[in-house]
Amino acid sequence: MVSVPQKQNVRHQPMTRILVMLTSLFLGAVLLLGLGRLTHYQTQPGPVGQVPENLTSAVLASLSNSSAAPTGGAEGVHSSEPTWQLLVFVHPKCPCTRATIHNLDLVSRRSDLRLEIIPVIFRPLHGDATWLETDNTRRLATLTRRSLVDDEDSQLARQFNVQVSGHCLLYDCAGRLRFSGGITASRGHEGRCRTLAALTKTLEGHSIDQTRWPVYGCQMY
Amino acid sequence: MASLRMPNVLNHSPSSEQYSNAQEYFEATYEQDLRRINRLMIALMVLQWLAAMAAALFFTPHTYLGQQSAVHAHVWATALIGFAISGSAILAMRYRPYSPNTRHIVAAMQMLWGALIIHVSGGRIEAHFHIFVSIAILSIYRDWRILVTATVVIALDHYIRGIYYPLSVFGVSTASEYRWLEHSVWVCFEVAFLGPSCARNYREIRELCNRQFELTEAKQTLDHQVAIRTHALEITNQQLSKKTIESEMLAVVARYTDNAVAITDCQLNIQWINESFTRITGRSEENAMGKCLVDLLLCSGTDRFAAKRLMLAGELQQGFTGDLLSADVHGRGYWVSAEIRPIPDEKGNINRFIAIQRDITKLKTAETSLRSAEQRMRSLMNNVPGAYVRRQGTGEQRISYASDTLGDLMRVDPAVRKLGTTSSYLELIAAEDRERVTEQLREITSEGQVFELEYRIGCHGATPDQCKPLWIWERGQCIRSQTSNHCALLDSVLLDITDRVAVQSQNAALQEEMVSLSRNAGMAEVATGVLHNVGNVLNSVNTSVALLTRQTRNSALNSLQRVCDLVSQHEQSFDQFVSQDPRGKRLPEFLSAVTNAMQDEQGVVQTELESLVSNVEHIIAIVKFQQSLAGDTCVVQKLEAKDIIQQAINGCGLRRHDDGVHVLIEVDSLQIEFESDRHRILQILINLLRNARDAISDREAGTGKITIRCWRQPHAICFSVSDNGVGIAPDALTKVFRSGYTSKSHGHGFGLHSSANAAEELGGRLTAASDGPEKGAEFTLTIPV
Repeated sequence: MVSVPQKQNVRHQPMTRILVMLTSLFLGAVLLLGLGRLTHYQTQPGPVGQVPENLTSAVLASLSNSSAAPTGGAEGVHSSEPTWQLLVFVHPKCPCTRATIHNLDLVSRRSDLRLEIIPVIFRPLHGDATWLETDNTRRLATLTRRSLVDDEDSQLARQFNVQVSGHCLLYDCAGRLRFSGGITASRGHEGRCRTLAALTKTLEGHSIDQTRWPVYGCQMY
Repeated sequence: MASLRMPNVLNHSPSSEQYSNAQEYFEATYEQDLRRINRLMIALMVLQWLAAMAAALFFTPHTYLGQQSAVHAHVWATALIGFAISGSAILAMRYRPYSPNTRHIVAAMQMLWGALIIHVSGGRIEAHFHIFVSIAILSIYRDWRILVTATVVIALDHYIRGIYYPLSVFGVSTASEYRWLEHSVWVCFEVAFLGPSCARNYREIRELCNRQFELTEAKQTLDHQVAIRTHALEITNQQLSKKTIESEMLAVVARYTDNAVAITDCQLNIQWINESFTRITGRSEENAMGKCLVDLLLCSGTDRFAAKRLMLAGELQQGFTGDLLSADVHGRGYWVSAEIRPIPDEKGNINRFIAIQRDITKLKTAETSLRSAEQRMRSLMNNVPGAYVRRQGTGEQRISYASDTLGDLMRVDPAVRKLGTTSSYLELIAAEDRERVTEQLREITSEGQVFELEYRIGCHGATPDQCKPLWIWERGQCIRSQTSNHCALLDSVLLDITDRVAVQSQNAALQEEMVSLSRNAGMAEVATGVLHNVGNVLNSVNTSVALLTRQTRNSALNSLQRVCDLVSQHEQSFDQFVSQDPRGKRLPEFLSAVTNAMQDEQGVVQTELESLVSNVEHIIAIVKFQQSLAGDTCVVQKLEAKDIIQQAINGCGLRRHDDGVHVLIEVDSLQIEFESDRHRILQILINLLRNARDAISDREAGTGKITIRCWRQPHAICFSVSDNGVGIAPDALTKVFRSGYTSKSHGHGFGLHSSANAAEELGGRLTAASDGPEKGAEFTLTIPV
């Protein structure tokens, strides 16, 4: 015996129709506003101030004094050969900075580049060491032979006038600033982008016109 | 492709017969499929939202400002945007589950989910797989149009974002303006295969529904025909079973019945017999087959009239019913109740007869015996004294049976002496007794005991002058119903007691007269005793009066009168007379003597007057006692035994140690008090004392002895009066209380009789005892207290 389907009568009251219509409009509005707000959030860069144009010895000394426990094989800031020094200011818990670290990993894999990455890790005043134990710091530690710089209460960031996590400062061997800004196209956007390409070209020795780029990430102070 | 529009109003019950065509059946099937798919899509929408929320919370839970954290925008975006997308789809599926627009909305929302995932992932190429998977999922609707909608929506998304925000869809900041087209082509490539597949599936389902509908129709038609045939077969089977059962029952009845059954042809020649036929008639099947039933039924002893009726019925081929004396094969007679009925065929022609014979020999014998017994019983009842009647126990007590003598007994008119069952027995009873008898019968029937009644019979039309009172004595018993236990019948025997009642009435009058005479005699005797006592007292009074008269006549007062005359004569010279005259000189002495004589005389007179007063008071007391004895009412009062005995002694004029009779009173306690009627006890005791005095009257003076005793029993007070007089012969002991019996020459025979009656009136008894003549007698009065 084949089961026989039963047709159902679907009728709604006028009030129900009105409620459904209003609900549909509300959901549509939420959808549009949400997409707009999300787009705005992802494309809105953080504040960027005037960073030091030269990397002075005093600054380097402060970086050395603020070094955290050295990672395995760390040899200090200076190498035997002239190199690029890339200061990366990182908020250890910023999820957007993961994309910066990912893109930085792409750069660090270039063996032809004499690049020294100096991660400056934000730590709140009197914050304990567990604050630094995040995926961001662990991945950064694998990208450099230097020790992670413990920036308690953003003293170094303030010294460099850097507010947003993921902000990279590239200094050449003469200590001149050659690149300042983020290396992601938007918040948390991994992969190649114009800023990463600009950084790479700078490291390759090419001269590029734009040295200031927007930064996407959490603010450290 | 056929329209997928679902009907809005279908007021059908859920049976396939109600779909008028295959289109409706298909639409219903598709709706059922849509319900299942909608449930699946709702689950998918919820699952996507939950998965997106989980991913956002896992990868980007917070955003920071220094050490201050806040919920990441991705979390909010996933929650709100995902809710809007899934909510819109779910709302559409719940609100319009069968509408084509709903499916388009679901397709668009599913594409938006893909767009959101691509957006949040930053245009990761892996996220684009969601689009292709979603299109494949949407194909389960079997609606190629929603694939087009999905393609259009995702193409527009890629086109707009590719131009304005390529980073969010392609992951690069700059992209070709035709890159969206490449993505869309890939989607169209998938849809190009899935769309026709959906259409083909849709057609296949439609065709399947058509086939199914046709099969259902065919099956219904077949089922209907099978049901009709089955119903017809069931009816036939039922009728057949019924007929079979009837036949079996009839066969059982015919075989095992005590009646002889025979089936004959139209000429009454036997064609079939049962076993009882052989048993009753003694004829076996071989002996009976083919023989005429009339010949077998008739014998020499058969009643001629019945035989003629039977033969006539056989000739006319009609039925016959009647009792016959028949004979078996051995010539032994037996009675049968025969019933022969013609059996017409469908055309009404008589082809067969059925003959049923019931052996009623025992019944006939019993009837004869019963008739004889009834005749004997009627003869017995009609010849016993009185009458027998059986009537109903309730209502007007209709007579159901009565002996022939009832009419005579009840003085019913000879023309209607035979009292039928419609006669009411209560109407035969005289009106003045009817109510009493009815009430008594009601009590009797409720108690169910043997009863005896006496009542009068009415005159039944005769004038009261012509109607003598007729008294009936009835003795009967209630016959109770076995079911309701109420008095159903009253069986009774009636006797005429008119003469007995008359004699009793005369006896009562005589008794009353004798009591009156006895009373008068007693009163006369009491009066005699009283007069004797009064006479005795009057003798003393006469003596005293004579003495006083003589004393008065010979009084010294006369001498004093002469002194007074002498003094009057010498009044002028009294001194000289006293001093000189010799008579005067003797005067003082004379006066002294007169004074002494008068003083003596005064003493005698005083003594006699006192005696006189005492005697008069005695007379007054006797008279008062007489008056007290005259009372006839029964007045119960508190009495003392000694007082009663003393009063009785005084009442009968018997004084202790008087006339040489020695009276002894013995009371077994100092004071016996009880309550009873004083006058009746005194009457009895006075009679007994008087009889005792008479019994010892012939004895030598001083030897007579009367003893009065009183003692108490547990519930009675006993008085006995015994003497040592003439005694009572043994044969006379049973007669002494009879009225008129006396052994005294001057007696009336009423004293002891009235005393015994008085004792009965007191509730007690009076008994007599004697050892024989000249050995005294003792009478004992027992009074209950």
